[in-house]
Amino acid sequence: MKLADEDKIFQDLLNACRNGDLELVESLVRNFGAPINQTDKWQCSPLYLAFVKFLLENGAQCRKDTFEGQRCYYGALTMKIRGLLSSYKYTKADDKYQPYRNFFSYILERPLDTFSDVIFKLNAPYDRSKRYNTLETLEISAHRCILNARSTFFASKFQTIWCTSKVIEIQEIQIHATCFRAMLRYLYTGEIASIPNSLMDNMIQLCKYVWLDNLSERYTNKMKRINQDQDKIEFKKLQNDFVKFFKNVLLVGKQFYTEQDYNNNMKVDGSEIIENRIGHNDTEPKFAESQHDICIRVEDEFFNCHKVFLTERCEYFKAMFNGPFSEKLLRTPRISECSSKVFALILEFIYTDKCDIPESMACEVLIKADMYLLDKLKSIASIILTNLSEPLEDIYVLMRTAIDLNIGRLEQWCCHWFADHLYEVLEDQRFLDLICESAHSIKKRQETDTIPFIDDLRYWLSKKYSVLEDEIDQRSGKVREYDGEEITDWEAEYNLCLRYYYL
Amino acid sequence: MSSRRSQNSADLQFNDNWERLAQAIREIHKKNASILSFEELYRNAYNMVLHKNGDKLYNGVRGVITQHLEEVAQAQVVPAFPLSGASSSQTNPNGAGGANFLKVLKNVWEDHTTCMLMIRDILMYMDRVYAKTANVPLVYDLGLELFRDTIVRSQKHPIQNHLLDVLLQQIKLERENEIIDRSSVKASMDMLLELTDASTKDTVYATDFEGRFLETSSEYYRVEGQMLVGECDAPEYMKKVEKRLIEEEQRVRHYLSPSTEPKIRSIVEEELISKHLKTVIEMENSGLIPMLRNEKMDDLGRMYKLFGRVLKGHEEMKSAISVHIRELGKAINETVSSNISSESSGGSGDKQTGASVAIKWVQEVLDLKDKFDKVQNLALSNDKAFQTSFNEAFEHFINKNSKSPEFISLFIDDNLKKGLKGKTEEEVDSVLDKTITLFRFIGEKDVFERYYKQHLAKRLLLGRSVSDDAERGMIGKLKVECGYQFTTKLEGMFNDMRISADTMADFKDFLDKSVLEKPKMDLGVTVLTSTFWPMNLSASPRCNFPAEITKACETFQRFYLGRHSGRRLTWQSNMGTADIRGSFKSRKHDLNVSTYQMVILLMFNDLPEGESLSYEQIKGESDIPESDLKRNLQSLACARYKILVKEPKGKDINHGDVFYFNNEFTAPYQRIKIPTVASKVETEGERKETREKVEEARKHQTEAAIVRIMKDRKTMEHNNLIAEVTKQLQPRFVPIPALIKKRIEALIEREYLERAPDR
Repeated sequence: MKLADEDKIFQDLLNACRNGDLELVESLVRNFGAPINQTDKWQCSPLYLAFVKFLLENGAQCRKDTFEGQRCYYGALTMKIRGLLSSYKYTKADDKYQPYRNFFSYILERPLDTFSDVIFKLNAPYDRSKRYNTLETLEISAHRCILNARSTFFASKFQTIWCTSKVIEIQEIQIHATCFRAMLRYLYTGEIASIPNSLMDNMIQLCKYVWLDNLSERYTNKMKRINQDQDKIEFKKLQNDFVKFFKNVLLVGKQFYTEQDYNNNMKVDGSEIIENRIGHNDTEPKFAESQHDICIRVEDEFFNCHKVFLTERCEYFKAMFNGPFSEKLLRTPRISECSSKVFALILEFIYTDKCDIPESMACEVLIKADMYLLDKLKSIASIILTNLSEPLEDIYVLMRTAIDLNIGRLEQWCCHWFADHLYEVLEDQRFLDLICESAHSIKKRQETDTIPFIDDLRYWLSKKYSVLEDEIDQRSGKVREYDGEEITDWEAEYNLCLRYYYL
Repeated sequence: MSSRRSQNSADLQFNDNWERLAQAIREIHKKNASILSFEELYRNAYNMVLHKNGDKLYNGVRGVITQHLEEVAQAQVVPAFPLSGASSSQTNPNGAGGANFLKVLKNVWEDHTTCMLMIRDILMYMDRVYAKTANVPLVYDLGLELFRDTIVRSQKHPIQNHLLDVLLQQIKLERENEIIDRSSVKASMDMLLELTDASTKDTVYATDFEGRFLETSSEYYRVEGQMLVGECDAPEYMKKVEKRLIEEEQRVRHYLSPSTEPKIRSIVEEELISKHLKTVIEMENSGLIPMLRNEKMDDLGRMYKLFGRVLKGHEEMKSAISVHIRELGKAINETVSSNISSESSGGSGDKQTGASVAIKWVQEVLDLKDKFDKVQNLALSNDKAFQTSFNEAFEHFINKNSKSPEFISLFIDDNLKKGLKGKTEEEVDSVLDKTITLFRFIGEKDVFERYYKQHLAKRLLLGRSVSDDAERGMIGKLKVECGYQFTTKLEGMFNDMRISADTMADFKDFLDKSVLEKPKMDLGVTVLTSTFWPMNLSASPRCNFPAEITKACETFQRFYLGRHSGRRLTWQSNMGTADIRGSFKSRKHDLNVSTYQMVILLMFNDLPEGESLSYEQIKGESDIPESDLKRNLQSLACARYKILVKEPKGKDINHGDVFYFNNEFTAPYQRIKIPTVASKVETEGERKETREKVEEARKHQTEAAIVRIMKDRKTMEHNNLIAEVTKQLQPRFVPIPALIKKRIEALIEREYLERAPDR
């Protein structure tokens, strides 16, 4: 399913490149992370086909040492393109995950500002250069949820002996702080921090201790240590870890709201009691399997969440939990006017930076993503919507949403649809209302009087019919005349609308 | 119809929602945010914006905040006004009321910003969606604007006036060394900095405060500047100014905007430095010149640093110092010229003092130079511009003294002759190095060259030079300064000396081997290339040698010409020395004398005891030129060792004087050196002669330069030619255009050049 999906995007990208549809290419690359460095079964890379400069600027690679790179290079149509190809280095690649990456580095670097919930105490090992500080202990803060998701070692420890500890002292082995930090960096970001050679043994010992064979291998094998492809794989793995964590732990762990809970914990007027209400039956209430520190109630479900993810990935939650408002102290804040299914999707996006939105829910997710200021989720949802051939919902509702939320892509898609179904909607009052509204949006008189909506319609119409034109080989005349008729029709209607409006 | 009904219900919905939101904002203002549900408020605001009520929401928020701020202004700010009203400074000298006012304002500001942050959180969606499309400020900025208009620039209350007055008063208090609460001043400044003026897009700080601050500051410092100039002497004044500058800089750092720093600095500089530049420099007993005189390096350094901050500051300093140098130089020149004139009136007896005057002059100039180098080093941080102006001043007064080339050459001569006596080689070297710096100032380097050549020739021939290395070192230095051309002749002189030594060795061998009768005495000959040496060939001095000597000379001549055919030897009898043995009554002495003196003394050999020779007799027999004869007789008869006795006694030699051999002569040493007349300051006549020679040489050089240039260019404009010639001759002397013009004419006359036909 997943694979097919990516495949489809890639096919779209190739087709768009072939057809010279820069707009589509742009949106595919910008919003949906279309894999611009992939090749199809004929080993055509998108670069081979099209907008050299745009793709290059967005991180497409053309390396002479690969077959398709060579092909791009020799297939370049002009010297200008060839020059472009060789002048671009592939430094800007992988932009699409940047915010997600940044999130992990940020919380790694500033655990205290981001709701860290565990402190590791290290006994600094005997250091010959500083003779008298063997007793010095170092405290390193971290987030349980990250470690839990990324490491089976920590997950199992957190379930068992460390399940209640706020401060954890590791005494079994001597760990150098630099090594521990390097390990944290790997767990948080998948990056391999450089370690002085003198600490390499300690590092490998630590890796073994925390069951990170992969990491220890990368530290022992120099070739693998500095390797971009390897880094990419690591990052994919990190993302997958969170996908698993989210699906297997968080979604499974959500609880349902019962009448009893209501009676126990709700005061009059729906305001909740400020107290821990999730594990009130457990003996060790504080850290459940999910290591959550907040529990969000949506409709009648409770989602176990982590403030660190919510606040740093979403402005809305940041304001909610960092501000001085009542939610700051609540353990089970409530989100209204949102279905739990949609909320689960939003959480999926927050935790994993991707989201499989069922087509039927795309519109709803779109609206909520807008409300919670999640731009990337918004564009994911809008791409899903616009990849449909027929609207699943009422086209007018979609159009309305597109206009309200200012989603150009969806708006264009709707226009496209209208153009394709012009005869069906021509008489519809709602369609006329749209034209009227669009006309009303013009504040000043422009040099040429146009209505944006009409313009867009005309554009799609001309696209549609120019293809036919070629096929039937009937130049000018009829089509243009046809266009003209339509336009006069609209104008008549538009004038009517205006007149009606001014009355 | 249906839409209108839904419109109504939507309105109701809006009003309901808005009422709750407004209530929430009021709660926030009451600091009760913790009872509010963010989720609900955000959703509320979100729905309003989504339903196209963004403008209503926005304006509503504006209203609520404005109302709140007005209440705050009335309830908190106005009661805190300093008692005395706008002109608070007189009645409230310690500014306590002002400080309190600032504190209140600080609290109000802090409360407001905190509340605005919360309100911003709630209205995040409005900021993102509505504010952007409607092109209105974000809600936080709106809050700032409202604060600006309702509090800081309130129309109802004179808050602004009070605020600015209090701030300025606080600053004034601090300037007068009182302790103020900087943190609350800073808070107010930060507030003003954060608020922007709508029309200028600049901060309120810049529009409202900065101008007035600068105005009052400049007034303050104008008064202070006038007062200080009257009260303090220059060093103290500068210390105060320096302190003020540091204070203002710190003030800016502590609580003003960094952008104010250059402005306030330039005000202090203008009021305290620029306006009083001359006054401070010319302050009697403490100004620039007294500082120089007393070598107050710290004060000078401070003055340099402070004055460097303003335009013209260094200019003024430079010109003052350079005038000072010129005056000092002039004084040195005057003492020297008065010394010379007094000496010349005192008679030609002590010619040594002539040289000592020169040495004294150079030494004084060097001391002066040292002093200003030190000033330059310690106080002026080696400023190039100052260096140039100093150099110009030195050049000026050194060239004012027309004898300076001669003096400098004499000074070098003196050092190279005395040399190691009492001074190490390094010391001599450093002295010579300094002398070279003086040499640089000389405009007429060719004159110097001429004197140097003369002095060098005497040193070489009379064997006076202490160290060959030192001599060569000096020539090396001159070479660095003026190039190869300048020193070829000097080097040629050294070469001649070396070759002559070889020649003499060969001559000895020749004599040993030859069958000819050997001369009765040893003959040492130095063969000089006439072009290198400063002797006048055409007028080779006449002198009749005794027969034996003539014979010896002839022997050498035969030997030499046999080796080098086609050469002509001319005997320079005025340059030689001779060792003779004189038998006196008590004992015999070896006398080292000049050739002339030898000739004179040999005449007395044939004279019976007690006989005398008259001046005329000696002159007639020896045919020695008169001035030389007089000098040599003088050193034989009137100086320390009186080999001859003169009748009548006296210091000067006159016609008709009679000389006896002094048989009674005694001296403690076996070997006596009769001092020849050493290098000395030239007499007026000699100087004139030298001058003429130099002029002659210059003519040739000028013509050579003209021809060189014209060969290259073929045709050239007159003025350009003059400029080019001047440029080429610059390193040797500064030609006057008239000279060049004359030379050009001469060349045209001799048909080396011609006028271009079309002019």
